Amino acid sequence: MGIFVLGQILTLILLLGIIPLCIGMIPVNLIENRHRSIGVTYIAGFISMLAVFQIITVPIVILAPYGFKIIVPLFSILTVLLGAVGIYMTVRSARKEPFSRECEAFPFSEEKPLWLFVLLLIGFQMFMAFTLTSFDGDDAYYVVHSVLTDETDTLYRIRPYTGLSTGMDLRHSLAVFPIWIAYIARMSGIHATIIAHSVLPLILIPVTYWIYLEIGKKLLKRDIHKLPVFMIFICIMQIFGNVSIYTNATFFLTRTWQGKSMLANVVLPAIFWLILWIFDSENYDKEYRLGLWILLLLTNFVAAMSSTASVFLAAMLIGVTGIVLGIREKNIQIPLRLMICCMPLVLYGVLFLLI
Amino acid sequence: MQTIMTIFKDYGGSGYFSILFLLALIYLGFTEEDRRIKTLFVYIPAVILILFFLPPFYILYNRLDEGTYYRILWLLPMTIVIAYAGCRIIGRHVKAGVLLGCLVLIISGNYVYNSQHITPAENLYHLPQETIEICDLIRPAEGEERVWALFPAEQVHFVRQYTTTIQMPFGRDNLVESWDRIIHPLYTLLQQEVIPAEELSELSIESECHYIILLKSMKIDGNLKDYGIVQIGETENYLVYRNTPVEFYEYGN
Repeated sequence: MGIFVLGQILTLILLLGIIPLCIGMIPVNLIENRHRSIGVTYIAGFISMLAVFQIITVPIVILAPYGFKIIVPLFSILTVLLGAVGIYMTVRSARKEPFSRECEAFPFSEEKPLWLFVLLLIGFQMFMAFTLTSFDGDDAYYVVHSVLTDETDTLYRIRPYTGLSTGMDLRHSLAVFPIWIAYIARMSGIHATIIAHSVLPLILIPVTYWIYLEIGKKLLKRDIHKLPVFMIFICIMQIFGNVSIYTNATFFLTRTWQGKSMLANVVLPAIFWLILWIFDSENYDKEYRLGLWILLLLTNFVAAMSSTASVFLAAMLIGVTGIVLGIREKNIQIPLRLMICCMPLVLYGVLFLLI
Repeated sequence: MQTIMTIFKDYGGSGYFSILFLLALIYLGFTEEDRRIKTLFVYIPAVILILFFLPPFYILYNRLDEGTYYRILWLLPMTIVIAYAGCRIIGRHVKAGVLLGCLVLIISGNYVYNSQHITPAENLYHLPQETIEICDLIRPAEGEERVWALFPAEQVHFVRQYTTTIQMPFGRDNLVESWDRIIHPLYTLLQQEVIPAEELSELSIESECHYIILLKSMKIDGNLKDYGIVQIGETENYLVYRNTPVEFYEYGN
């Protein structure tokens, strides 16, 4: 029993820790040295991994009602291959050019008590997510879909509420986040509901805060000692953000495992983070930022994975950003490039209308 | 326009966070020197806010996804803008600023863990332990065909999160009043103060329910045993019955 549980935990560490980290080495190798860090690599890998899942899963959902048994080996092989490519790229670039000392230092040394308070606040939210249960009616749909997929290999062909067979559920079938949860469940041997309710918050809460940290680093680059203050304010607003049932903060801490929360608390902040990074320098046209553009493109796949309405929301955010930035910078290339990054959203939007 | 205002007010609750956000936007609008930061965190949120209040935009969005217009407000980076403005406002007074800032945010907000929907987790599934006990009692063994079971309304959210080998004549789709729902007669029956045993038997046979789960507090008119509904177990609040007139499916059927 002990060895079995240990095996399950090690599998989770592999699937949710090591593999994303290795995959993240691919896009991170395509950005400047100074931006590279373990946190950025992990977030980049997490986004890339989910994007790959969305890319391979949607066609299978449409074409193969019992396609989960195809998805599991296919995605496993792909992620291992991508992880290997990431390691290879990192080793090769380290041989060519040893790790740069320009790399942005993590400002931990300053204001240590404040940083400890930040860690305490984040740890508190993770502890509460693990030990408290939050009732949400939508789980009867989304979490049951994960359980159904894991138990029956079917993809959106059974009504989650009752168990009766049905045609493909078009409205939800293009957003395959519940299927990814089923994948983690199948590979680890842990029940999909446990993955959703007890495991995912322990990953998604730190991922969200790391994205905020990266945003804060850019915003406060001249006042970096205030970064822990920025993080404390963000944490407090999340913990006390339950001003209504609709806010992203409420979704963040009460429905962490649902695609909608992923959109509000991982995807949308990631879009702000990437755009902030891409246009951070006066020389954004000349500097080596291919990795960031690729990440923005992949983030849009993750947006589509989160929920069907996300296609519109993410496209709107990037569209407005492109137009306003383009006007402010007097550069037509900005909206054009951002529009290219929106292609996945357009693709899934058209697919939704066509099927 | 009235509807949009209602959505905005409902989203903001007490409205203090919305006010803080608007104040932070104005503050950054006047003081932020970095052109790109100003564009991203002042102008773009302002444009999104204007779009949100445009009735044609509301009509267009509703055609795509009805009832979720509030999600446009997720595009506003409220937390980032407030936190960043807060960091700028406190100047050199970092420690006093943190204290004061946290105080303002705590007073303006609402503690998420105070929600009536949040309770201590009873297990790693984060499902009621009683649901698990009932499901373990009636779920088919590995290799056996799935079963149908009638559950009281308050249990239907949880059952299939634990196992999908148990199927139900009605689920959450019967519970949400705002949905375009087809009410199952068994759901209507279970809402009655006194449940006639004969009607329960007839409807549960019609729906091929192998098991019936009833709250101990439910009043039954008649003797369930007379209709072949035999108690096989109980939990703290529920009685679990086998509906013997409905035979189990043979595997593969």
